[in-house]
Amino acid sequence: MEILLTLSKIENLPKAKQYAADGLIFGGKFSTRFSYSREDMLSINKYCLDNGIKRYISLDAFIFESDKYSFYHYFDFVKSLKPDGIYFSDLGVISIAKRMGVTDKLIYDPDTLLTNSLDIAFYLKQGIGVVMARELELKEVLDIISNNLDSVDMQVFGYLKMSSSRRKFLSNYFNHLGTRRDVKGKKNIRLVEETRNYSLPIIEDDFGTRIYTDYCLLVYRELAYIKHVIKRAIIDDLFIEDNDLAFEVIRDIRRITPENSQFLLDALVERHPNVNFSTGYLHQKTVKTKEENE
Amino acid sequence: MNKIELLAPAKDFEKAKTAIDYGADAVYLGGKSFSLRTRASNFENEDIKRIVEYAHSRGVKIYVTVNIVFHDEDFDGLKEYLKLLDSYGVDAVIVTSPFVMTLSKSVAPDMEVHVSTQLSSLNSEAISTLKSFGADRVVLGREASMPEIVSICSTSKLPVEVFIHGGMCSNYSGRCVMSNRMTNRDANRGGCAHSCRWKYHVYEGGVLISDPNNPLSMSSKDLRAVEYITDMIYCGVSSLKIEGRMKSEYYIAQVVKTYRKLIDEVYENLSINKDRIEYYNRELFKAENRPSDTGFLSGTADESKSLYGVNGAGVTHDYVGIVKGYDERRGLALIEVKNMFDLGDQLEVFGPAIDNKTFVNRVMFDQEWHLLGEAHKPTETIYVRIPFRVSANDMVRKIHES
Ligand code: SF4
Repeated sequence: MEILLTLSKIENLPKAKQYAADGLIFGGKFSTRFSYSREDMLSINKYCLDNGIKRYISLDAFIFESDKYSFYHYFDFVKSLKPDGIYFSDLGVISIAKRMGVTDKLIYDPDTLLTNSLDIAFYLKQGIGVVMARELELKEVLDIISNNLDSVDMQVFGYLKMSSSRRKFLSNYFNHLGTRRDVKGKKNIRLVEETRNYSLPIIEDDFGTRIYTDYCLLVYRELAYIKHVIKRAIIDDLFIEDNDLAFEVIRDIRRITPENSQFLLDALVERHPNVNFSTGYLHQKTVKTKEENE
Repeated sequence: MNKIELLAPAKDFEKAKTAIDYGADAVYLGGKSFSLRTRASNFENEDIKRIVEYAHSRGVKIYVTVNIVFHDEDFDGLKEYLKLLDSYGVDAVIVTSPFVMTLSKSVAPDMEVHVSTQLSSLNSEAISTLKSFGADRVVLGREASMPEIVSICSTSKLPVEVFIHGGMCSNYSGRCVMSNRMTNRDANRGGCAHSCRWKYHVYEGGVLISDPNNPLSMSSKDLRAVEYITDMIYCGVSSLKIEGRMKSEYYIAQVVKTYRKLIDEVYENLSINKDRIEYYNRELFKAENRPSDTGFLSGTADESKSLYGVNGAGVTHDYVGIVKGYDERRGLALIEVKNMFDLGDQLEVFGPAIDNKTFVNRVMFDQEWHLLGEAHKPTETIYVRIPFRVSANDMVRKIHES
C-alpha cells in the first residue's frame, strides 16, 4: 500500500520526505483542491523526482464544454510531467487521455458513485484506477476490496466532501441579503444547520461550492486489517490546522498493526483534542429510503 | 430532421396515460426496484407491461429508470428484471452504473441504454467515454448553459437529452451525500432528505455572519425552459425531459400540453415571438406551485435562481375537477370533484383536444338533481352546465382573481 498525502503547501515538501510519504497529490488548474501555478508544479515535480516521491496530479474539476480546449492544453502540460497517476472526476477525462496517449495513469475519484465491486471492476478492467466512495459501510468496503485485491484506493484520513455544486451558495446568499462579502477560497467558513450542531466546512471559489463533513475521518483500527490489500491510502489535510497532524498520521499508518492500532489511535486523539475524529460511514448504516428510517 | 422528443415523467399507470394523452412522445417511470424516487415508483411489473402496450399502440416510447447508485447488496434480481423489461418491449433503461450499462446490453440487447443525469455529463468528451461504455443516449447535467449545450450537440457522438422543466438538485446530481450525513438516508438510493433546502447559519472564524432571521438555504428554484426550446430544437438536442415523478395528474397534463403546443408551434412557424413565450410561461404558472426560473441555461445560477424562505409562488389556477362525460343535448358535464369550487367561479377547461375554454359556473346539480351552491366534496360526482362541448378526461380548473 502506498501512502499518499495532499500537498497543501509547498513548504511541506521536506516534511513529506522526512515522514516518507510514498506519493504527493497536487494540482493547479482544473483542480478544486489546489491552485499551484505551472512553475510551482514543475518545482514540486522536480523535488519529488529527486527524492523518490511519487507524483499524483489532481484534475478533479468538472470540465465544462466551454473550457474543453483549455483543458486539452492543460492536460498536455500534466502529461509532460510524466506523473505516476492522475486523479479525475469527470468521465470526459477518459476520452481525452486516451486520445492523448495516456492510458495507464488515470484514477477515477468521483467522491461518491464508486459504491460497488462490479462498477469498480469495470473501471479496473479498462486500466483505470479507482477511489472507493466514502459513504460505504465497513462490510461493503471489505467486499469491494476482497473482490478487487490490491487495486483500490481509499481515503483514510481527512474531512469528507459531502457535496459539490456549480452554484456559489455563499455569494448568492449574501447578494440576496444585499451585503456583499468576500468569501472566495476562504477555509474558515462553516455552516451550522438550525436544528443540528454539525459545523460543516464550506468552500466557495470559481468552481462553485463544496461542503464537507463536520468530522475528520480517522480509521486506524479498520486500516490495520486492510492496509496490505488496498492500493493507495489517501491522507487529505484540507482544513487541518495543525500542520504536523497529517505527518503523524503517515508515520502511524506506516507502522500500524491490529495489535497497536488502538494505542496509536488513542495517542493521536489525545494529542489533538480539538479535532472531531470519526470513522465516518464505516460503522454507520445508511438506509435507502425515508420509510426505512422511520 | 427527426422531431425532438418530449419526455414526461409518470408515477403510476394513470399518470403515464395522462402524459401520453396530452402529447408526450415518451414517458419515463420507475419500477419497484433499482430506481431513485422510491416513493414515486409505483409501477408493478404488470403495470409496466400494460403501459408499454398502451404507449406503443400510440407510437409513444417507454423508458424505465434503473438509476440507483448500486451497492453490492442491491444487484439481486437485476439481470432477470432487465430481461423482463426487454420482454415487455420497454424502449430504454435509464442507468447510472457502467456495469449495469454493459449488463443490460448483454442480456437485453434490444433495449437502449440512456445515461442518467446522475453522472453529471457536461461535455462531449464525457459522452464519448459513455459511448465507449455502450450507452445510446446521455442525459446532460443540469449545470450546462445553453451555449454549452449547443457546443456539446455539435460534437456529441450520441443523442443528447436535456431537462427543461421541474425540480433540480442544487448540487451536482449523484455527487451529493448531504442527506447521508445529516439523516443517514442515502441520497443516491432514493432516500434524499433534501438537506440542501434546510436553513443554515454561516460562521466565519467562529463569528456569525449570516442573518439569524433569514439563514442561508441552498434550495434552487425549479427549472422552466420555455425561452430555450427553439434553440434546443435548432442545435440538435434529441429529447426534452420534464422532471417530476412525484407530480399530480393535473401537473403532468398541464406541463406536457404546454410544451407539446410550444414544440409544435416552433416546428410550424420555425420560431416563436416574445408574446408567445410569455403565453407559454403563463400556461406553466397554472400548474406550478414552486417559483421557477431558467437555471443554468441562462448562464450562472445566481441568487435570482435560488429560494430563500419562500415555499411557493402561488398558483394562478386550481385543479378542481375531471370530466367523466358530457350530455350535449342538455349542455351538462358529469364532473368528479378534485378540489372545492363554488357557483360564480370562473372555470377553465383544457384537455388533449380542447384548449383553455373558460366559462362562469352558473348551474350545478348533484346526482339527485338538487341544485348546488358549492362543490366541496372531493371524489363526489356532480353535474355542471358547460356551454361548450367537453370530453371525458378533460380537466377543469378555477381561475384565481388577480
Ligand atoms: S440534498 Fe439537495 S442537492 Fe443533495 S441530493 Fe438532495 S435534493 Fe439534491
